[in-house]
Amino acid sequence: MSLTWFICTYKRRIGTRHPTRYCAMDDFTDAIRLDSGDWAETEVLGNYAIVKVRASDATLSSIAGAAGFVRLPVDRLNDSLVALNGGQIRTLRDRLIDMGYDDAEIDSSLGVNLSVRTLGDLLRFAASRRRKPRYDSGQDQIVLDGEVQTCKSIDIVDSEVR
Amino acid sequence: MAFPTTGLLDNFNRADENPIGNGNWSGPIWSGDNQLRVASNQCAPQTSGPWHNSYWSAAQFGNCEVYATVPTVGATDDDLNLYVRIASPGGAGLDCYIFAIGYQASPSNNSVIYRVDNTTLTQLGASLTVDLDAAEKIGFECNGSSLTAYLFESGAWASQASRTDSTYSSGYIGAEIENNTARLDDFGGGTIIVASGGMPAGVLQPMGIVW
Repeated sequence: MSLTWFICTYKRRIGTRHPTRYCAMDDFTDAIRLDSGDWAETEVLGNYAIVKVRASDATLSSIAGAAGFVRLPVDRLNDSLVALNGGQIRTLRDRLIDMGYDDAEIDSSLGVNLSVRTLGDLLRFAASRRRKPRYDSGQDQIVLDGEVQTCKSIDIVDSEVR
Repeated sequence: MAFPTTGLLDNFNRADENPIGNGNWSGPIWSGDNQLRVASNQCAPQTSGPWHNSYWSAAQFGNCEVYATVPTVGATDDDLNLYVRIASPGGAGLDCYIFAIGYQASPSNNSVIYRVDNTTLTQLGASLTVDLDAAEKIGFECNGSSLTAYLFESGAWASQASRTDSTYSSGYIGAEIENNTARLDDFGGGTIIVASGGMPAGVLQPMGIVW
């Protein structure tokens, strides 16, 4: 059994009476439970979730290979990002930008060189805000453009899966 | 922490009522749905229509709980749902939390804790497997940012899962039945009662040594 972190999106649940979204990690709940594992998430900006998972290495590899899932390259919040190569750092920065943060905000909060930060620094920044959802019936879409909401803290997620 | 800490709000032991009212209930929670009713001293859905829900409009609660007995379950996948921290019921701005149980004789991933924002549901955490049978009880507690789902079976309440969310801090409590078979009874809840000394009711306090 191993512990690691993923970034994934929320998906639309089909066949529900009201517009419903769920963290894509729930697609792996059965596999994780077969390992006697667990997962917990925090919703962040841009329809993304940051998820901590405890599962077998085989299950974690399966999740990492699924479309839309990014496995973070280190596993513990106090792990430094110093050993990451340029491509891995670029991937992390790009994911923050996909969420809705811009370079100026990332640089202001984390500095221009992410490799001197820890995984915890990165994830706590990513979980600094989210937006309240609403349903656009005309487009049949869940839209995330409401008031800014507080995210469940990364440290709570960390404590929920040991 | 013990569950529940509050007494009954409604045992439904009165003449049939449609919709449920008695000065304490309003509905529906969702625009366009039916309201619950009282039939044969139980809380019942309407005889037709898919969704039936009402909320206890006599008071709003912050740190709160809600629970009910389930004398009759529904058909497969019929939901029995408990609500806490309902705001803007019946409107497009409906916000709340839901513990939703889809009845299954051999349950698998049949339950979910939801946060509702502007009538849009977001599942919190993983799907749950809750083995609800007739004559058992269901409960839902919202204490600070901690949401806990309960099932009463074999004579005791047991937590089924907890989730953490701090989006909503107060509102009404309510209940919902999908389709026309299931029944609820002995609806209770309200503000969580904290025993003197700051410990939640039912929690044993450590005994000090007195010299």
